[in-house]
Amino acid sequence: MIIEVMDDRLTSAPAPALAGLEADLAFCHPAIRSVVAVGGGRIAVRAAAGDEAEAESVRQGIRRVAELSIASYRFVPDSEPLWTRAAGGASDLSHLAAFRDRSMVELGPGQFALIGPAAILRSSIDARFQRLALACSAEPWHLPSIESTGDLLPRVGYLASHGQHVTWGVHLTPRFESLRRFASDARERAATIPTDDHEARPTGFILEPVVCHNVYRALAGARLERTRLVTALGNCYRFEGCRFAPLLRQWEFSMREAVIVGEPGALRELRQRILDATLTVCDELDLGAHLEIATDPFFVSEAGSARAFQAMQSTKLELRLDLGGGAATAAASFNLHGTHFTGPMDIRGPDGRLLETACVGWGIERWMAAVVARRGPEPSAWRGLPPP
Amino acid sequence: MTIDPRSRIRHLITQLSATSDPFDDGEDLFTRGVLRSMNLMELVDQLEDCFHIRVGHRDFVAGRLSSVNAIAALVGASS
Repeated sequence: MIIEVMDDRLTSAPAPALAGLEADLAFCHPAIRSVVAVGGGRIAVRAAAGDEAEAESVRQGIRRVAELSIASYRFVPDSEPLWTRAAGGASDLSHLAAFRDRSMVELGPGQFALIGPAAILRSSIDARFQRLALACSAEPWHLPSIESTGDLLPRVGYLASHGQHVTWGVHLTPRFESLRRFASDARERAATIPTDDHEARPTGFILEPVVCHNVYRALAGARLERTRLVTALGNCYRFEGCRFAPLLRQWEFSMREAVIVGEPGALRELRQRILDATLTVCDELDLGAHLEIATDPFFVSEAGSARAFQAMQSTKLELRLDLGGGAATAAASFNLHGTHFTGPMDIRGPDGRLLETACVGWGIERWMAAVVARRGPEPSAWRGLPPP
Repeated sequence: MTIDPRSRIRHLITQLSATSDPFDDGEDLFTRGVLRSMNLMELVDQLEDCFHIRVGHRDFVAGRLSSVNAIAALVGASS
């Protein structure tokens, strides 16, 4: 059923607030299956509500989320792009559907197998950004795909501000009787989820939603003599509620990051150098793109101050790539963190002062989507990329 | 009795701050760690209530909330 809520605040809300509200609605109520419309004073969602009481519960949730979400954008201006590039030809969203049908197999919500040329395209795009980072003298690292919940995350408030995206893990206690019980239940009752009876317990780790956290962990307590630039490709995981979309918003996706730790001046200079080099990749691939000031997808009840602060400091820039029909995807972000991570992790320079951090993230599947939308689903059309 | 706006601002900031470290009126409250980013909207709400002003976009971009001196200038200009 379609559930509608009228809200006058939407008529005067700026574009970033409407886009943000659409994202926030994915975490409003478990009955919501998709967001149909946000704008013109109206919110409409498709929901599987069992009865009128549940439908009213959805409406109440929408009103509450809308109020908080729009308020959190109060200090986020609807500003002009900082940089724009027009492609030599049009992009077409319908190419993505053809690509998905030919080269991807859905294995679960937001999880896809990439087949043949699609896997090669992914590797080629990652290789291009790895080359870019190495040209800036980055150290190549490999990092785990899980990260601890016991150190950095609580100290920087990550679970409060981004908990909606996090995937936690459990494991079975290594006790023979509990394990035997679970084995028996799995065999005889097709049990798929451990329960208290099996002594399931939290792993103390989450599937990493970003790459850079493990870099800060690895540098905890360090006294760095020089600016460090690290690059790593990570499998990252973000739960997206009802908003999963192939290549564009996956539960598991590939992100290459360049992580910088150093003095503020050197760090900003290096971020700018990487940003400039990323814009030249848009030229190489002839992609339409624009660069804009952005904010993180903070959880709506915690978003007000965090979003206002980020907008105030203009600490996050996003490169959005055209997909056709007015659609675009945020395919790279360029972030300054100040001492947000170095304080909790005690990362200092030779004089004992806290250093600062920055990171650049390239969402590999989103670059794939932009290339396919621009060039079409045929591998022969994906020019300008180095072999993996 | 009229309370000096700067004293009221310092009082508001002290109430929001998680640290008891002293700070100067010219110091950047966020860089110095007197306030955290999560305090920002509380600070805005309290300044608006206390001084009957409306904080706008430009006040953020121009850094008019970054120090006691900057806030005092904002309050003076807005009231």
